[in-house]
Amino acid sequence: MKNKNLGFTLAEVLVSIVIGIMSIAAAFSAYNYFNKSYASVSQKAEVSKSARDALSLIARDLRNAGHIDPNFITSSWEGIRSQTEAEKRMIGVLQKYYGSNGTGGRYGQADQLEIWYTISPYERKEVTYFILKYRDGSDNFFLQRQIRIFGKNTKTFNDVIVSHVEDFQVILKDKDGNVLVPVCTFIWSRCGPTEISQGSNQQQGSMLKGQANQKLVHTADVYLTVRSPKEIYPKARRTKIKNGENSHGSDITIPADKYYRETFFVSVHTRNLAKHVAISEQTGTSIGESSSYNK
Amino acid sequence: MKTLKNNSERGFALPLALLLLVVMTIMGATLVNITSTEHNANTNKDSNQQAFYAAESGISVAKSWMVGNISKFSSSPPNNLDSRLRFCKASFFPNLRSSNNGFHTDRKSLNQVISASGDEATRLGKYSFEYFIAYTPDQNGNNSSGKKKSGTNSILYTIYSCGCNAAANSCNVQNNVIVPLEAVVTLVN
Repeated sequence: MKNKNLGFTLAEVLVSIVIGIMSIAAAFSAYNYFNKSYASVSQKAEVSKSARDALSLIARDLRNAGHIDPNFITSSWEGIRSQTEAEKRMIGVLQKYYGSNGTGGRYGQADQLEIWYTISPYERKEVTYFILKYRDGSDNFFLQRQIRIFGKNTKTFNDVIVSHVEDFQVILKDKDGNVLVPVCTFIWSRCGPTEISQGSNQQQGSMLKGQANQKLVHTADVYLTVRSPKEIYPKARRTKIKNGENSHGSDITIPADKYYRETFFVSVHTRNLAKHVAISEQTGTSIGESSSYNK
Repeated sequence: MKTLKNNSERGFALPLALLLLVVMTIMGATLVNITSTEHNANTNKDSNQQAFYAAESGISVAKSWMVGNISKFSSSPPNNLDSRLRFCKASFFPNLRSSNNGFHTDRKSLNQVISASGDEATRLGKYSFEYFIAYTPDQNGNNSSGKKKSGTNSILYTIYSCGCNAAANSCNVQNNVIVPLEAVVTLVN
């Protein structure tokens, strides 16, 4: 009786070991589960955050596209030499902008978007969106926002706005919803003859038509596909991306991998391009020249 | 009982369980935090978007007012609208100095311009716009006199509109999202 409390019986030890292992296993698997969902949620949040921010920036630029301040002061630089010159540079999309440095993206189908608007009576801004490949040797692509401001002093800024971009498509439509191709500015090397239609590798479009089309743009559909920076799926899966209507959009098949991909879409009314006129039936008076600007 | 107290083999299950509990609580809290941040960001973006649409509605309401009240532009001179503007301040518009030379202003919640009922009407009631119409300013922001569209005889007017994510009579600059928007128009006969 004296030694009763000194030890445990074999059965007690065995039972405690089993219970101990079970609880440790349960705790470990719970930890594992939390860890995985943490990784996946944080990656998805990263993707949606960067894409959301980028799309609001693009949407804002598109709304402003083609705005010419009624007081704008002409300068010697040809883009703001006169109203007519300014109107030659409003919006342009280069389909399948496949060049060096990875423009065109990993799959060679991404577009380039060029937007012009005045930001003050003295300055005109050019914003260009296109994909580039990182120069650090990694196989990653990002969406670049290049800004040039023409005016008293010409300024240039370059920003990486989203990383790990897989595809960027811009489809411009007129007020009836028909796709406008080509749409291009006066910078002729970026227009008409160099435009390539998907799959055909054929040049298409005329520069003059492309310039005239600028004033018909009523809606811009923008597709942005972003990949998670890290692998999150336990098993590899195949991805197919189809952004936009056939022949002007993209059609990409990606071999099986463990990355998460999401496409973000925004459709923007380009307020300053295709102008509408509000007419009053009673008086026959109308409101004309609705050029507007979103801050 | 004394022997039990001296037993050096203490259990490790309790500290381990506590450690795991702490780690998982931290991870859980981080997850909740990420999700709620994302949720808030989305809500903000939505408010912004809705306020932008409200501002656009303001512009179209202002346009129809202009078409219906053409005579007022020639018969009455512009006046100071400052005291009548609730949240659409001239300072929101970098190309304008003051609202001293406005013709007309109005503010409405969206449920006053879009007919809806039930939940939809309640939701629309949470967004509003306020606009004012003035001469288009010159390059220095002065708009005391009418400027003509180059090459024509038509006077340029600018509609300044602000969208807000609150009802027209409760929106204020400090607490609400306000999206300013402007449109330059001319009256054509």
